[in-house]
Amino acid sequence: MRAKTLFTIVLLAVAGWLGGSQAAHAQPLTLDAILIHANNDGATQDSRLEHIEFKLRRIFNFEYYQYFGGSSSGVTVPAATTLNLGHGYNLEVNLSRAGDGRVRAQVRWLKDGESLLATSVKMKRGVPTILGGPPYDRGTLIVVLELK
Amino acid sequence: MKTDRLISRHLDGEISEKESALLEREMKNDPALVQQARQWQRYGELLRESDVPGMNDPDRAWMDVRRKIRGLEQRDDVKIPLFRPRLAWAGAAAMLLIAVSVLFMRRSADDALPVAVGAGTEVEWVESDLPGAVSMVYADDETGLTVIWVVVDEGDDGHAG
Repeated sequence: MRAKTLFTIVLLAVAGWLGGSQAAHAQPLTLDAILIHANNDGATQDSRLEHIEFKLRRIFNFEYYQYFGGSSSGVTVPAATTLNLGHGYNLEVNLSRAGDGRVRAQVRWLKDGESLLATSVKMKRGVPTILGGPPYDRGTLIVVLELK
Repeated sequence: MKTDRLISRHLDGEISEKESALLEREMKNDPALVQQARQWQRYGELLRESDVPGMNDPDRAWMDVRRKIRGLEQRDDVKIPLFRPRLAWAGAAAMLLIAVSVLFMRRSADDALPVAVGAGTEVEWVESDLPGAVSMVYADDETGLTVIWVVVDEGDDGHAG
């Protein structure tokens, strides 16, 4: 009887562990995207970029970072969503479980329906991913994508 | 029939004096009963003198009993092996091994051939439809940011700084 009880406990523990890891992925998240116009011509400081501007300045040579648009979406993985960034820019995002507490984001960055960049990224909650490069008005466009 | 039973009990020394007197009276009146009593007495003597196999050695008999008990226990093992303590632990260990293997395989499939790994971010692939564009990935240790950049060949300001 004792062995049977131990066996049952081990089975329940394994089931709970597997179920818990699945449930961890099922919690609701917010997918946040900010479109930034990086340039050297000048821009006023924007509080919406306070958390990221100093980091971008360390990586890129641009002097100014202007908030250009953005959008957020509440998601429960797996999910598919489109974020409208403004000025004709959109992000199509497919989210799926990636294991190890991360989420796979398959992202397509579009301008008026034309694809600029597509990527697949395994993201961790709270760690931004930077997309960028398309030139715009003597500067460059940057997207800060983050799961919160 | 009653007299037969009296004879049998008499030979076993189990009858009372009253019954013994009754039996004696009947045997005097019926010589066939005397003959029957003698015959049964002889059978009893033959049985006691004969060598009954397996029963003349108590130690050997006890060993046989223990051997039979062990045999029954082994058959019980075959019937319900899952809940014997050692096998239960072996089963639990096998379950854990399977669970870990499944998770490891899922993780291995997920982690296949990453382009770049930053702090918590892993870029699996990048492509661009812009003409002449080249994509690059950069993981910055200082800021913890992972940058996916498209370099557009316009000879102008499309650069990563």
